[in-house]
Amino acid sequence: MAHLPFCPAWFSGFDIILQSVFAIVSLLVSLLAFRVHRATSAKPARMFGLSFLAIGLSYLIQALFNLLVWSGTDHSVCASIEQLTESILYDIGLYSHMALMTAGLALLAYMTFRVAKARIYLMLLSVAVVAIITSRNPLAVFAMVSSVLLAFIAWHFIGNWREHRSALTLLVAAGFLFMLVGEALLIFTYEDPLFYAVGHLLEMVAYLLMLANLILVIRNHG
Amino acid sequence: MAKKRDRLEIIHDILLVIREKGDRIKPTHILYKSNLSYQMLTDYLNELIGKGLILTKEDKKGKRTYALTDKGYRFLTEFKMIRDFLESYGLD
Repeated sequence: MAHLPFCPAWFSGFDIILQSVFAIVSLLVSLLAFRVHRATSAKPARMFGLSFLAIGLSYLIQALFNLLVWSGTDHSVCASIEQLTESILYDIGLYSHMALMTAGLALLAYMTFRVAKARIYLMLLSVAVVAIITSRNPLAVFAMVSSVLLAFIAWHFIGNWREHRSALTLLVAAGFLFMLVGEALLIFTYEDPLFYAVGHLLEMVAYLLMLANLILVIRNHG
Repeated sequence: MAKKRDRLEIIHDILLVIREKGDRIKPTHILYKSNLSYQMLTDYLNELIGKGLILTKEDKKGKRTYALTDKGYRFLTEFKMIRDFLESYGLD
């Protein structure tokens, strides 16, 4: 089994499981949003569904490529070719994850402003993408950009909780706060791989809170 | 004092009135049952037609009536889930 960069040895493999859970929960949120859109034709529900679809796919691709690298055999004919393949696979997974996640979070942040100007979304996305791809440390800049976007998104959901004080809105607001802290810790992954593990664990709490919200919404319906 | 109904609740109430009248209701009946001004009701009905939740029919005397579409029925069935979901994420 190959070791993924930035991942502590003891956490190796667990990160892939967690990323798969993030993907499943995000895709479930997206599915429900599309169902709401189908019933109401509400545009925000469709945009919300699209943003979570992008986030879900970003985690799915990351988990898939990390799994390919992690499960790579060590007994190839040529070890250097094996290493090169793993490095390319890891980069494809990482960059696809960053592109889709940035698109999803930028769309979510754009929605919170409640303005119907696509140019604002394109500007948010352009600034984020340019900052990431021109950086010498794309992973850290990606974590910073995501944290900034998540800060605005969490701000919106905290406001929503203050407006409609209920368990449902609290779960979502708390979920996005955990997501924000988890993503912010990933900025320091280069300093210490422990931050990679702790960041993932906090994000797991975030997605479990959002899953609890989904279960409550669907259960109340039944 | 009664709590002011939000947009989603008003749409729900209008659809409920149409369903209760067996899918053949005149605009004046909806106006009476929904507790809205004439202008507001007209705006809501046009919006619901646009969203495919209701459709217009004509009765034997050639007067306009309203009926729910399949999408309208689905909205009523899933109303609580829709409301909770939209409220959870501040999409309402």
